[in-house]
Amino acid sequence: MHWRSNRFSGWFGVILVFCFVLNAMPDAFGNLIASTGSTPNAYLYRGERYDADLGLYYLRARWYNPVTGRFMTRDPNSGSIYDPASLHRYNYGRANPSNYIDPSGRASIAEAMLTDAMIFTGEAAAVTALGYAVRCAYYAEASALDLVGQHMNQDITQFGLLFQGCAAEITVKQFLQDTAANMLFMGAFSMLGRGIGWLLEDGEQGELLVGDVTEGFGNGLAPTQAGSLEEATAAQARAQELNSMRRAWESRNGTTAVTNVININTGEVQTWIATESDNVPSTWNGALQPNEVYIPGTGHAEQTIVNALGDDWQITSGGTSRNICIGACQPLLEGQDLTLGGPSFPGMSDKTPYRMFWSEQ
Amino acid sequence: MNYEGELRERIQLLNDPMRRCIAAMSANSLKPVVCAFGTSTTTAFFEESIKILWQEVGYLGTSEDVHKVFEALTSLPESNEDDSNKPSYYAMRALAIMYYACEVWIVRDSDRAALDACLGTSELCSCFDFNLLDNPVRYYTSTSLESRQKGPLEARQISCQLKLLEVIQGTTQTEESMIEQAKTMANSFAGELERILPDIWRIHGWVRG
Repeated sequence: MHWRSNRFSGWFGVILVFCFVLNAMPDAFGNLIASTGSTPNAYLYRGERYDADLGLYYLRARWYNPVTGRFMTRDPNSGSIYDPASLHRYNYGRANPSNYIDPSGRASIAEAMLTDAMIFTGEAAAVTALGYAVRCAYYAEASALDLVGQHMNQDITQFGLLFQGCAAEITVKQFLQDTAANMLFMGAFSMLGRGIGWLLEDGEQGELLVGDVTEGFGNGLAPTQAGSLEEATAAQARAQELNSMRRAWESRNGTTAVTNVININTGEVQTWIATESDNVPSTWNGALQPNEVYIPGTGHAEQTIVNALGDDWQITSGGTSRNICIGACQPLLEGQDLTLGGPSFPGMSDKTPYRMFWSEQ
Repeated sequence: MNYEGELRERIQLLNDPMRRCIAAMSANSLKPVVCAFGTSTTTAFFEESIKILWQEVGYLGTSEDVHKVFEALTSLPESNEDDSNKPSYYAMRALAIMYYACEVWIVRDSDRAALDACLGTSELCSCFDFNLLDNPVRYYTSTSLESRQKGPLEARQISCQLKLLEVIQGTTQTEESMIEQAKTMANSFAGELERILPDIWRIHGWVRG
């Protein structure tokens, strides 16, 4: 009977986990995509406190908005030039919340690595527990939970990750209480999330029915990257500089655009440059910096850059040597959620007075 | 050495009539572009300007006629066209070559002007190649510029330029012979160019007004 009572308490725990998970299921960015029951729960995404009135998560150093996938204020940490993704001080979890967390509000790779390690260990532990749970049915004379713990203890020690040495110092039950329960929960939660992700997929088409709980940017809410007028001003100055280096006639009639772009998957930052011509002006020989990439095209310079963005790249700021046209480029840039502004430049009636643009999100 | 480096080096070795010859060939090569994308006024002006350039290749001193062409270039209907989504943009690009060709007669650094005329012509050809190719290059970095593949039209134009340089640097060439061979090459290239320009119209979806 001892076995039965332990088994009951074990299953009760599993049921509690399921209830918790089903009560509030956030996506990778913390947006609630499914919930059941009516019990209020302030601790949702990754166990963080959610303020329903503000629609924000409290992450200690800063408040986080799950709708935009961004913090409300800049990261107090300045980031590192050797880690470009860390320079984007509004992003949550390096714009990659499936793989990184930011519980302190201060970007930290170590936190993400720790989480990855714990989830990995927890998943492995959950798989192991499941396997041994089946075998438990054949051991009526022993405590199934004790057996699960015993075997898990051996296997987790073999994993040699975060909890190496635990087995020698604490008892199986202490281990289960202090560590394995957390790991099991995280592993079960992670596996459950993946399982629900698979269930929500249309088997043949791969179409997601509710949100997007696969790897990546949550339910289609790709986090945007803010630029600034200052960055746009610098880009415009660079565009002016490069355009003035072109041959006399092309400098007079041509346009050069310089844009700062970010890869929303990798966080890589580049500067894309285009003119209205497909070739790099020969007079720019040696003028391009290592991070500057020339995008060939024969349309307007801004058009060429926007058309080259694809799904992976996003403009954060930019500037042009000539006023942005009203007919083609203004709607194209505004369609990228970019703000046109900065100083006004006198120009023709078919053009805006602006030469700068940036993302404010 | 790349094309631009070779061109620069060889043009520096030329005398003034030779530089004028290669500049006139560049402008002549682009006549179909003005005919296809420019107004009738500009087309007539361009054709007359080409005749003047060929006539003045051997003229020692500053040509008054070339000066007039040079000054008129900035007041044509297409001179200030900055919209590369319009047909007249290509006429403007061809006018640029006439501008650099005239500079060979006018400015002190005629080698730079002759180089600009040659490079500008091959670059415009590259734009046509870019539009005609199915899978154009997506981007260039500072390190990949040298490996840029040239399209067929651009390669043909570069070949013409380098061949003319060989011809005019030959020791036995008379000036008349040099000019005749340059004209022949220019007209031959112009014929090839003329055949692909309807495709440029079609690709852009432009309708002749």
